[in-house]
Amino acid sequence: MAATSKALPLLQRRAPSGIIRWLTTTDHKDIGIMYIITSILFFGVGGIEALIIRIQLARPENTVVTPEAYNQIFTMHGTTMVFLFGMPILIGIANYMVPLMIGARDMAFPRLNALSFWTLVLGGVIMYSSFLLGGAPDGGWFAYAPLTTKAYSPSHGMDFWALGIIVTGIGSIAGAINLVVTILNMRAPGMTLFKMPLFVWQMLVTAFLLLFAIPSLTVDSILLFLERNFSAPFFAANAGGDPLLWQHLFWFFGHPEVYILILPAFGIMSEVVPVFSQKPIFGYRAIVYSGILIGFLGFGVWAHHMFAVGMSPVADAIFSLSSMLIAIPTSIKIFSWIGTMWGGSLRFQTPLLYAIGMIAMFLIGGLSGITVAIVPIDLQVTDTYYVVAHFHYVLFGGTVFAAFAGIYYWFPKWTGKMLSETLGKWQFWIMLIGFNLTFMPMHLLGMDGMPRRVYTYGSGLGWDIWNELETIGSFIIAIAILIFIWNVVISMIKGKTAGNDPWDGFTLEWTTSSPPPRYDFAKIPTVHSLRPLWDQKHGADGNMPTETPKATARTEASLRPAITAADVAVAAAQIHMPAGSWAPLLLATGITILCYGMIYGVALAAAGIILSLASVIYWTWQKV
Amino acid sequence: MKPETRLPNFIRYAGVLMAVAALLAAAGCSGLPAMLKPASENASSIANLIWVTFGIAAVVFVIVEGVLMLTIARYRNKPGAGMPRQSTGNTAVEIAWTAIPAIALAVVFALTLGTLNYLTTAPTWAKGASPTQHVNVRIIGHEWWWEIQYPDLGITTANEIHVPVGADVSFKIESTDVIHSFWVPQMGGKTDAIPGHINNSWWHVTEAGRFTGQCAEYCGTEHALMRLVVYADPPDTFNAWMANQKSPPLATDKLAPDEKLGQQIVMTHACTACHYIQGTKAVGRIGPDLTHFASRSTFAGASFENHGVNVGAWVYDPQKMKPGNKMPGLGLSLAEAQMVAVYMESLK
Repeated sequence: MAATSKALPLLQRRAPSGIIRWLTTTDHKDIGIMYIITSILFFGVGGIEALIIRIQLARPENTVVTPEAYNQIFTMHGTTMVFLFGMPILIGIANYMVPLMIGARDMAFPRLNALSFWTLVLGGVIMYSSFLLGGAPDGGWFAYAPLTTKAYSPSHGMDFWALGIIVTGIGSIAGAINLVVTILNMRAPGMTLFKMPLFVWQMLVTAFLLLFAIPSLTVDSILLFLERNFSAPFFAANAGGDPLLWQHLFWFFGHPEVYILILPAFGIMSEVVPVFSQKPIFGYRAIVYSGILIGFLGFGVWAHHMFAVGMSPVADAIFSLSSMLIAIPTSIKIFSWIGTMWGGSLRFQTPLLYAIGMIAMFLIGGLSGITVAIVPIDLQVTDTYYVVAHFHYVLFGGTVFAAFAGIYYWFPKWTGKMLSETLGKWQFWIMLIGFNLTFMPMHLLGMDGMPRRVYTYGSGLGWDIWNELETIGSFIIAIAILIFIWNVVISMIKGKTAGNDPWDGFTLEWTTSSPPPRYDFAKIPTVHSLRPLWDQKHGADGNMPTETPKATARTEASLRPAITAADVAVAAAQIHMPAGSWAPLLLATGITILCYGMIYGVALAAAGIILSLASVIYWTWQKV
Repeated sequence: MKPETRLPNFIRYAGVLMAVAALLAAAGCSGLPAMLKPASENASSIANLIWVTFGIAAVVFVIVEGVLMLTIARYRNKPGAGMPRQSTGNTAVEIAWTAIPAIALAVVFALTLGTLNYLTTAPTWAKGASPTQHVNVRIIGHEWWWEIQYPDLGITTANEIHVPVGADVSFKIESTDVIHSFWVPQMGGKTDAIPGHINNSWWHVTEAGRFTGQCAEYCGTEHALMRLVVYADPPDTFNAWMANQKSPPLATDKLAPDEKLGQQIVMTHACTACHYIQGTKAVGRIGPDLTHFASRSTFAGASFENHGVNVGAWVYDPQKMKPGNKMPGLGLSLAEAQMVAVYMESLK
């Protein structure tokens, strides 16, 4: 104890407290937490936008919002949920968990990691500031040209959108490089690729998807900005451009994006399901290979968003086939999770409830996904509420349910407190009911001819009752989310203390304290199997007696050999961890000022460039 | 005691959910959605594919969700049962659950190719086929209305398409501004109207009736009010409609006095810069052709019923009924707007 308290001043000198700590942090855990909090805030904003959409559509010919406002709101709902909630929550969880799961002490590039986060925040700020600066983006999250060119969207909204997308894209690409390097280079001794936890595997594939997909969107956004502000006719048909150029570049990003949003969710599932089944994952390699296959196939399906644009029948058929092929690796994963539960000993704690909910809901989205891969059916249902139903079953039923499984699973590690099981279960059932009430009738509306993105619809079409039910459903979802937030607050205040390993976990993150120290592991563990912690506790066959305190003590000691107070002191004093730095935040701010300068004039742009260059120089020379 | 009471609860919740889902499905089936009430060969080929695919999907759904529920029910942990067997996979099972979806998808893909081939093989007709056998229609998307031309028949109209039952209809689909998508669910799938592109589509119309559709690609402020109507007419009705559309409107001297007043207002205001009315000074081609305006049941992107009150209100303040549309207010008094409406309703 004496040694520990002596070490503390050292720690404190390194890590400033209060707001400065958060602004300058390079700790992957701090950055992960900031990612998660930011994305949940944006989830709230996107959710409120969704509720406004649902209020407007609750009745035919409703006039709660103007057509212009409605179009801005659905544009920002989609943009927010994809770029400012979906990606960041998954990247945030990965940021926190990947180093811990592979036995590393941080990400490979801690300051780059901070830069990724700040570009996300400021990219979001750029997009949302447009509401105060003359009009929000109103071209849809897919921003099809020529509707988004100056002639048809004269406010600065789409400029802010394009710049915000470019800035968050910088962060995504940097984050992807960071993940790839971290995962490939910083695994604990003995952790071969095939002893890597499946969440880490799916994040590795996701990082490669980000690397190859995001540039296409960045290029597209730059072209749009040039066309809007410098009359470069990339998309204007009457000046020799082609509107379809936008679509090809957008969807070359846009479909891999779907896998960027779902593969990490698959990873979370593949961690949660085995732990709560008390059994190894069924078909580990099949899940790895199917993830890689989805990654590759994901780049060959983009034009299935474009069956109605008038491609050749041969192109239609090829993209239809590649899209259907995705169903095979995806179903392998679903079956593997069920196979993992089959014969297990299921503990129905909240993480498993969300995981089961994910399987049940994602299956529906997967099946409707096959129907939209079928060209003739897609020609009917594309751009209708059927597609809205489909991707919400995939992204809400899939990604959001899995993200909640992950949050309930890892919250104890992040905070040292357990979330309330009772509130968690209430949230689950309310959300499941609200979700189905909101999105199930949309299948029917789409098939009955209700297009997407309409601010109103006529009465007497038979759509009224379904729209009303959907609106009720959306508020039930909102109640579930409020219960979640209450759960977080109340659990932080008086939640049960978690301890290192509250779920009888398998993997390395459960061997360190909750929350982990700055250096994650006082001693880097050596890995011999897929379930290092489990095998230590129970033996590879699960037959080692676990009930006796003696056995528990023995196993804990053997995985974290001789971690004494003295060790902790030595670790705190001697393990070199990167210091905090202002450089990432300053660089992100410089880039942001440059973006506003792109709209408001050269002087501002020059200030942005100077600040950016200065922060790069500071970054380079700063000792860490 | 507690574990035993929780198990049936869990199943009961799932049961309630399934019952709700079944109710929803039943309610949905009581009136089939538009896509499953086809009025053309094309839509019915797609409807058939939907039925088959949904059938296969339903089987998969029931099996997978069933096994999931069974797993949940069977493998709940029981106190004192010890650790389950730590199996890590089963090659035979894994091969089976890879192969079976692959086979099912191969079947679905074969069906897809068949229907796709049918839909993309437009019938060819020699020039000079009678309009009740084959008719060419040019569809031009505008923000936010549809221009409809029959190039062989010399007819131009807006938002309402008349087609003869039993005929093949060939479409050329274009846009003058942004991307729109031409869609009438009971007739067939969507075809995008893209600036700089001319896309083709075709229908073989089988059922008479009035069918609604609307622009399916988000195209700006009034995307929601860019609707269209299809009248599938028996051949005689179609011929009568065609004859009427080809004939000029009433000459000015045959108009009733109040209609004549309305006409004067139209001809002395900006209306003529954008709209075309055959035989008058109105020669604009920006907005809808109004020559036979009163023969249409709707106006302004098929969004409002075409009667004097609506038309008068529209002319008085077009931005109130459809905010953002391209027609500016003309500064007419209410009385003048009503007179214009009277004239418009004479353009049969």
